[in-house]
Amino acid sequence: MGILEVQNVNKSFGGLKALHNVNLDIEEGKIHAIIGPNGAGKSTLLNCFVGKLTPDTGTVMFDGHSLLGIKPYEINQLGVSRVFQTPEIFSELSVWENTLIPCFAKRDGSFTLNALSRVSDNKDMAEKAEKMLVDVDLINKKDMLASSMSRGDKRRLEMAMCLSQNPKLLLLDEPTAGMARADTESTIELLKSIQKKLKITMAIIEHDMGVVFSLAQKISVLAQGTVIVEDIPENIKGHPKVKEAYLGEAQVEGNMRDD
Amino acid sequence: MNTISKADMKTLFFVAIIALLAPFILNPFPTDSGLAQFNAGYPDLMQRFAIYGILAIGFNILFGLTGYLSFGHAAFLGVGSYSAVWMFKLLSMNIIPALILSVIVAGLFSLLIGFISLRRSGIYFSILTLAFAQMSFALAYSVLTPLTNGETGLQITLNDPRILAAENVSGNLPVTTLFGLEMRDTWAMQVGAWDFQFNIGYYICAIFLLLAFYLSIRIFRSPFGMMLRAVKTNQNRLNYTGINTRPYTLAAFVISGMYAGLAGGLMASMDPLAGAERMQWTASGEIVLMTILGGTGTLLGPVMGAGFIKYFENIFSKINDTVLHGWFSWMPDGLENIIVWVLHLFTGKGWHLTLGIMFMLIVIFLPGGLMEGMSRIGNWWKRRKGDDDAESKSTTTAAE
Amino acid sequence: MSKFTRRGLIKTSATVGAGLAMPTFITSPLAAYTNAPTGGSVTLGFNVPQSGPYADEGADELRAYKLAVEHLNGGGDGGMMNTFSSKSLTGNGILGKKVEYVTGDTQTKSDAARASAKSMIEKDGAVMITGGSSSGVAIAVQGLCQEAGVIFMAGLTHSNDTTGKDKKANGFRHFFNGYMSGAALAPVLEARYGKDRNAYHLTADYTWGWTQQESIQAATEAKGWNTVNNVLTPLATTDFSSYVAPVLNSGADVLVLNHYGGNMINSLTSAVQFGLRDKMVNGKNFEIVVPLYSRLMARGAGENVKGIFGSTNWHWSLSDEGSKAFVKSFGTKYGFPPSQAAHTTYVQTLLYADACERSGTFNPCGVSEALEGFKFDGMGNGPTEYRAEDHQCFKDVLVVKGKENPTSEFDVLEVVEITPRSQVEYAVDHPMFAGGALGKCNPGA
Repeated sequence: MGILEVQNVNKSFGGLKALHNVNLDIEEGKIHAIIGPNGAGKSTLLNCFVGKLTPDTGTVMFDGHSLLGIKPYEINQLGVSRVFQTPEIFSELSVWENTLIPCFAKRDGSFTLNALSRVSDNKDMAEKAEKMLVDVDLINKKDMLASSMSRGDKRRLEMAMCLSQNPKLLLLDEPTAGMARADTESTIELLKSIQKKLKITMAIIEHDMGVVFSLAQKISVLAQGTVIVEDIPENIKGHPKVKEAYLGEAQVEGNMRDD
Repeated sequence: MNTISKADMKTLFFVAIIALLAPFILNPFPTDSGLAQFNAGYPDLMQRFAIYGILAIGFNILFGLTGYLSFGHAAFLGVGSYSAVWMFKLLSMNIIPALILSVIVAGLFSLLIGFISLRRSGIYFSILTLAFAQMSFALAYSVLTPLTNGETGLQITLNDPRILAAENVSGNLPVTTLFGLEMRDTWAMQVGAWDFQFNIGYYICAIFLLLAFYLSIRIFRSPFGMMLRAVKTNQNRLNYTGINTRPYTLAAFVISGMYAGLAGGLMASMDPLAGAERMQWTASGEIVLMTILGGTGTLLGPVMGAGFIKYFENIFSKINDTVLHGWFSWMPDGLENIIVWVLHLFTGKGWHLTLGIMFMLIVIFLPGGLMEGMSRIGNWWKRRKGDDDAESKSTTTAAE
Repeated sequence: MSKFTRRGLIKTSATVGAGLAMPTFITSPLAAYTNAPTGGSVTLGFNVPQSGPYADEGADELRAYKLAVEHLNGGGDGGMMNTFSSKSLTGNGILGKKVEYVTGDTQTKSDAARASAKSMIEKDGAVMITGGSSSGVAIAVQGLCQEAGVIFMAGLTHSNDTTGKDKKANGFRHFFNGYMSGAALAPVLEARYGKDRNAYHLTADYTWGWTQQESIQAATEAKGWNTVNNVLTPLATTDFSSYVAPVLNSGADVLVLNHYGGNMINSLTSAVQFGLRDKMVNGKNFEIVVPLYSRLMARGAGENVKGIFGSTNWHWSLSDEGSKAFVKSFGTKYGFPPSQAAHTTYVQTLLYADACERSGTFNPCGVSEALEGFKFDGMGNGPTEYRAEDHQCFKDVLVVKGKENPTSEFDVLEVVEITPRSQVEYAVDHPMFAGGALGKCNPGA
């Protein structure tokens, strides 16, 4: 039994079948990657996990709750956090406030009229936020405006924001997209260390094979809206079906995204 | 009491001093001098400064923090005024029950309008609030005439029931009071050529302004305020952080609606009349101008913006041709007429033009409003004092 | 934000201390009434619409006020001071004090008008406020003056309420009202258009429109007319076609426009464009009536007013000595004849000054006593009385008609009949005026 179970999910837009009988089982404590060529349906699938899209048929169960038909903030409260392709942070606020907000959200729920206490009076929240910033190595930038940071730092901040809520499942949508080489590597290191320390289940949607093979413990390959192979990384490399799916995209093993 | 930080305490103290000394500060020119025209230290205008200050502070809680631009806040002001006048008609001339009802009714009304309008954001939200405000105006102006007395405006009369008040034997209209203190009571002090007026109504308004300002500081520094600022910068992330943004924006909308209701109630307390035109869209637009002019999202800016606009409205509109001719009578006739003709465009009826130009200049050169201007002057001053440490400091000061 | 150094703070508090300890200050003299003039001059507040639908009237009112001040201070030819039956005014200001004035823009909005009047009272020390070209504004400002303890001399306000349910002891109206228009107009309309008529009313949606409509309806129905419909139009309306179109199929054969100023110009133009005046309904010629007429409006509406009946307070073509004197001095100063708005405001200023002279004080209670029941002549309307019970002037009313062959742009109305005062008089407790109380004069302070 996995923590996230996807069964027989179908989704079509107009006449186009985006997802076709997708079955997926993400095990607790593992890093599970979902890969596939462009247009394979990766993003559609992800959007079905987070309440943005509702599948035509099928079920998405997380930790015993259906994720279908509920709002993103409710999904988050069940324990699912999400990292976006472009870091979604509060760019007009300081790094410190960016980290505090998820801490308060976790403590206070979806709405609390906490209008008369001072932010700085909440020592427990401050401790938590500080610990997170130390973890992602941003503590010396805590007074910076979030928008003035580098892409890699923004990613770290976003990660810290997600992790400060102690999620049961962390969804990552191409976490290294558009990053410089050094940022990509440091992000990989960060994810590895988080996984080691916190044992958080992660589902990564990724295009960059280098990232996938250095992180994932299990890989599902999506092609034309359906899962064609699901296996450990060693078996995915050189799998004929995978090669076929990536036809025209050079060899699977060294396929680096170069945009 | 450790409720607000030292820096905020200083700001509050600063506002309190200004408010206390306003009768002096606003009357810098001797009463008989030609410049007395520019004095603003008379009760009606000082009351307006304080009342519109409250209104702008409240508006800033919505617009400054969440970024939701309401074009309908005048409706809450109007509703507050009507509620207060009805209390004066039915209950007594004491302003406390009137203000309580104003705030409650404006709160309920903003809950209703906010609940519907906040289903949308951005320009659609603005237009929805505008539509609601115009609807309220139309209702007050004609449909609800029995409740609002239409175009004439709701006024108190001798025949009102006023069940809590003693029987009126004077034959005069009663005046608004706070447990016997009459709002219109003014103590005048003459110092040499100056004439300073200390009006009870103004000081009551000033006390409410300070309370409103204090509450706004608390909200700005609270986790609630932080969430509101988060709403402004990224709602998507907030949703994926487990926050339902609707209740937050609605709470901000209702709070700022209640501020507007308080302002409307105070307005009626100073002058027991409620007219429909204070609900018109131009009045709503004026609130937006005040906030932007002063500095959106800053604590002090909206109060300054309110003062700025009210000053122009009341002082520049009074400068008519006769006054201008009086000023320039020392010039040769031809030149005098030319100068008066030019200035005529900007004063009297033309005060809107002056205000418009000022607004344009400020928005273009000081996008952060008057507050940005102040901090620039402050920085420039620090730099001029020119110690090495000041220099190193100014480089790290982030613009707020 | 606030750079508040410790040193600055001490400095500020030191000045505060000095201010409070100043031994020389004098509290305001215990005057018996608000803004008692102390120097050699007295300030009057002229509060008129300088923008909005009644701006034209406001501009003319202001001209008349300036003329009145000039005459009071001994300038010009003295105008109606020479024909006025009371001879207390000598051209030496009021009670020996030079008359000065401040002006303000009411914007035809109650709030703005009150703010403007308040600043005149609080800042400029005005002892009397006058003006207003809209009844809503006049009533709002009258209420303010009552509270503040200054006299309000109403300008152009025609609603029954001004001296009816909203009357105030400190307020006085020289202008006539809706009831008087109805009483003067109905017999003329009956004589010209017959007893069997169906009227359709378009009415400005505020106190003046309502009371005038009520008055005209009552007066015409008493003559046998039938009222088909009454439609209220917002004051800010500029396009009346959607209001005029339904009139065509309503079965009405008379359209009554209870509109004034820019509203009337637009609604009348619209009605004429729809061809209403050329129609035959129920076998009768379709007619339009504008109960409250003014020359400024008639000029604005141009050709369209020809042959249309209405009533007015005063017209410059009157040939009594007072009117001639006024038209002459106004014409000399400004180059064109005055409107009825100018006339009423000029007269009000003189009446106020005269009352001060006769009572020997600016105290509102003294002035009020001098005005109550005051009978005078020579001000253009024949013998006139300020009724003590409601502060309404009673005098003859003019029924006028748009001239068929105007000789100049000012000569657009002709006087059809001068309705005597007795015909337009009503009891103080007439139902259309009931519901308010005058209260007592308030000297303020």
